[in-house]
Amino acid sequence: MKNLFLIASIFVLFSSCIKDNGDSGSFLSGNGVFLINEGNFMGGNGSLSFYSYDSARIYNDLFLNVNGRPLGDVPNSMAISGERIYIVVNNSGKIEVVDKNTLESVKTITGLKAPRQISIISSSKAYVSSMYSDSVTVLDLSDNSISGYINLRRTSEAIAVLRNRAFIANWIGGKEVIVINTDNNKVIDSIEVATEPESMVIDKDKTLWVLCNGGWMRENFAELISVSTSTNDIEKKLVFPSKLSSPSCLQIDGTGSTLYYMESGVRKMKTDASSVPSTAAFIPEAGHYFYKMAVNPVNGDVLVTDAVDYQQKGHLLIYNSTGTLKSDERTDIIPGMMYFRLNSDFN
Amino acid sequence: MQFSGLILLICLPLQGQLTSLKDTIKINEVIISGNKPSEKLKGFKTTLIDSSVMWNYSDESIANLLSENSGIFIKSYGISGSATPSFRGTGAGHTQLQWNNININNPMLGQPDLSLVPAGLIDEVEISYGGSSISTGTGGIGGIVNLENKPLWRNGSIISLSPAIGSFGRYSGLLKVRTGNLNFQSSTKAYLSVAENNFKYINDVQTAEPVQEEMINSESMQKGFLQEFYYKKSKDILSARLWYQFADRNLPFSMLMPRSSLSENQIDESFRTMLNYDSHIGVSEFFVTGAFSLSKLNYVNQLALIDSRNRSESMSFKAGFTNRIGDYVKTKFILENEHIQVRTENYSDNKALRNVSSLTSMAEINSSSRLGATVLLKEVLNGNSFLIPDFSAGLQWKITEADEYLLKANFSRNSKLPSMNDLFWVPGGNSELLDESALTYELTYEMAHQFSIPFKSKFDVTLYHNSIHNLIQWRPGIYSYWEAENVKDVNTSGIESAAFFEYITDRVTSFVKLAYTYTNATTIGSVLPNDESLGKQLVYVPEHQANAMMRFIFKSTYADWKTGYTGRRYTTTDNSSFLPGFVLHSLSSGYMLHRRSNILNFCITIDNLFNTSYQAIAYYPQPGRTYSLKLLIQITK
Repeated sequence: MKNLFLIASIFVLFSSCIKDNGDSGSFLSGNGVFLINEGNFMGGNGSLSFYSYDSARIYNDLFLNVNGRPLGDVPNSMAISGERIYIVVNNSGKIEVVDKNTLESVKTITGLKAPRQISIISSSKAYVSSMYSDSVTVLDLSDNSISGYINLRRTSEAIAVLRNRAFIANWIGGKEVIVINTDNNKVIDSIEVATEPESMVIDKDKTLWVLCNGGWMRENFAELISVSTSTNDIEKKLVFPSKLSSPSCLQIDGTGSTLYYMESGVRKMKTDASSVPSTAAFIPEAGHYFYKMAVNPVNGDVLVTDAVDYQQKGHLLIYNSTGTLKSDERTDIIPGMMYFRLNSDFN
Repeated sequence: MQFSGLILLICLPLQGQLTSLKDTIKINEVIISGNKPSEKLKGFKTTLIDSSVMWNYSDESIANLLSENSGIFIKSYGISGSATPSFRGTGAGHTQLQWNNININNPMLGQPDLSLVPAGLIDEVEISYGGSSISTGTGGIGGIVNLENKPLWRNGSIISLSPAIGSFGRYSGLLKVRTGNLNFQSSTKAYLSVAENNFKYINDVQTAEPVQEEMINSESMQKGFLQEFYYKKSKDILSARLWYQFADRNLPFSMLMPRSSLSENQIDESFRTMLNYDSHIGVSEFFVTGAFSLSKLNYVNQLALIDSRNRSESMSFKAGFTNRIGDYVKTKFILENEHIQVRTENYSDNKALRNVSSLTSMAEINSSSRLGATVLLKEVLNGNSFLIPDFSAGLQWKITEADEYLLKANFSRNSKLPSMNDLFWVPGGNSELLDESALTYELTYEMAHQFSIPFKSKFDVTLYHNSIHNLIQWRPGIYSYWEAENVKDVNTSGIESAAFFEYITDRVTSFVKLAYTYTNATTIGSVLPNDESLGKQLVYVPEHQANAMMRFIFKSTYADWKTGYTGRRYTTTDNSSFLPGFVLHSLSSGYMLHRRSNILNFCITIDNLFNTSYQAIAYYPQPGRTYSLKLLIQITK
């Protein structure tokens, strides 16, 4: 009887989702961006949203509406591989595997220790970093299981992948980027960068950019560091002017030539710049509470999330490439990382 | 059958010294040890939970006691997790917990954990609402809960033993020994409680299909020892008290967390002593109290590799002088000092100090037997800084001469200092925080009416309004960690009402108690420009709460039925999501055997009678139907 009720409930929820969307959920196969709403730590109110460029509106609570259960406690990141989406749920120690077009649950991978970010290495392999474990978890994407671990002897956060190299940042209390040969899952090098490497991107010249925030206590200056991915040598160190500078969330545009990051607003700089920008923010916070950002690789839109008081529905603010606000959408609690899904027809 | 594994266990209600069952609904056993500032103020609302109620909770914490016997909402993180109070919609830090009028809130957190206080060690609980809290403490914007221990002046000894056994591996025992004479009294109480808390629940959020799970990592052990000495000469009383309390708890996981062998554990240990002297000189009275409190809180999270060790010490001094001027005016002055020292690796320099002094002056006027008024002014010195004075004024009018029909009104300003963690925690502590303050208005109507010889009733209703300014909240700051800030202004207003009907004959005693609380607690101002919480109900503050209790006593047999309703609680500040309300019922029945002055009493209780699935905090399951069996053996010499 209880199961019948559950099934009925799910049907009603899904029906209402379909009715609400008015397009049978087809928006998921269109152009848009997935948004991970972290929710409150221990609050269990993390969720998944999708902003559709096609209908210019946001769809919230997608995982719950489709699967009839909450996503989990503090979803943090996701990745798309083939027909699957992998959503890493940090405080629930799991990865939800869902169908890319319907978001129906395919599998739940459990047993991970504080997983943080996921990076697709190949069609059959992914790496997952960990905030508390000293190992990176290796996933076998053919059966969506844990196939092994790579012992880094330190915790891990951001992952950047180029050819058969994975660069993994040791963020909390660390100052290194670990290099892994993805062919054999072996640690082959470590690069000492600066205090607390928080986020990384790779530019058009295959240079790795590492944003080090100087430590959570601001004990050191934040630095933006470029690293040659062929030699693993540091090429450039751009030091922020004050210890009070607190940059985060390094991103790069679709051409791979302009870097973006958040520091009291959104700032941008060319990869060939000789210093970090000292002018006013490209997009000022203007009363918002910027939390995470992303740059549309095709049209250069800058998407920024506003977490407001971190206990209510936040906002997704979409600015065009010149910094003009195009759209302000209500999300769910603590909107965080974003992942674009753009088809070849998007412009 | 879900509970087939359990043997019906002991629930034995009694722990206090009882003289007869009927006495349990009459409050006449305790002798007041002396004049204290907790004395009821004219025009203000205070309520007393006396020993007749306390004995029902001998194997429980005062969190359960207050939840079922007051309008205070208890925010409970599961069966062995912490339990914090919300008084009239205010935060946990706005309630001050006192032990015989001395503040025992955790200095670091600035709030009490009510799950750590066994009700069995306490004789009475006095609740001071809103402005009335100014007379006995600082910072109780919502109110003050005062735990009282009192002597029983008599010759001879009373020894009572109260073992209890319950579902989910709960075992407890309470031993109380009172001995002495009309001039000297000793009271010794010892308490031990262990629980597996391994109840089953349905987890419908972790996987596609709901699964039944058994609670793990929620074992708890508590023990406590309380020794009191009282010496009385004429009207003067010298008392000494010592209280040791220890709790070792595994903190339960949320239903959304992976079931792991890596546990979260908290050990709380406290040692408190108190010396008190009450004296009368002519029409004047004075008291002096000195107290020392040492608290340790060690928190270990094996997953997050956290091992946090914290220690706080506080020295308190309190002195008061009461004098009568003529027939109608009574003045009172109270001088108080509290010196706090915290040692923790979580503060810079690994320690922090605070010294707070206050002077309270009070005048109580009784112009006739029907009209009374109180005026109170308090100045607080925090370190070298004087705060804006707090004040309150109350007026009380007895409407008719014959019956107890009372009208009370008061107005007050109350303030609260930031907690030590708000100021000094690294990272995020903010030494620039402003004090929180509240303006409170309150109107109470009380009546007691004897309809006929066997039938009596009481009724009270209170309307209140609080305007809280500079509310402190923790939220992520620009450096990606959470910081304490004065972010919002909040209004709380509501209604508290209670009714009591009693019917007593030679063979039958019965009564019904009803209570309803309406709380409207909303944000009215914010530093955030796009804050959707404005005008919305605060999180985890139910708008509606109701309790009902019925007791029936026939000769030596008695039965209680209790029910409680807790309304919808929002979990987000914009009220976009909420936990549904729930109703709980409990049933208990017992038999009391008298032999001369000795008592043997046993009682069986079924809590959550209808096995309701509910959550006080989102995704923290609560136990279903629970059985307990309690026994009391009381020997009087």
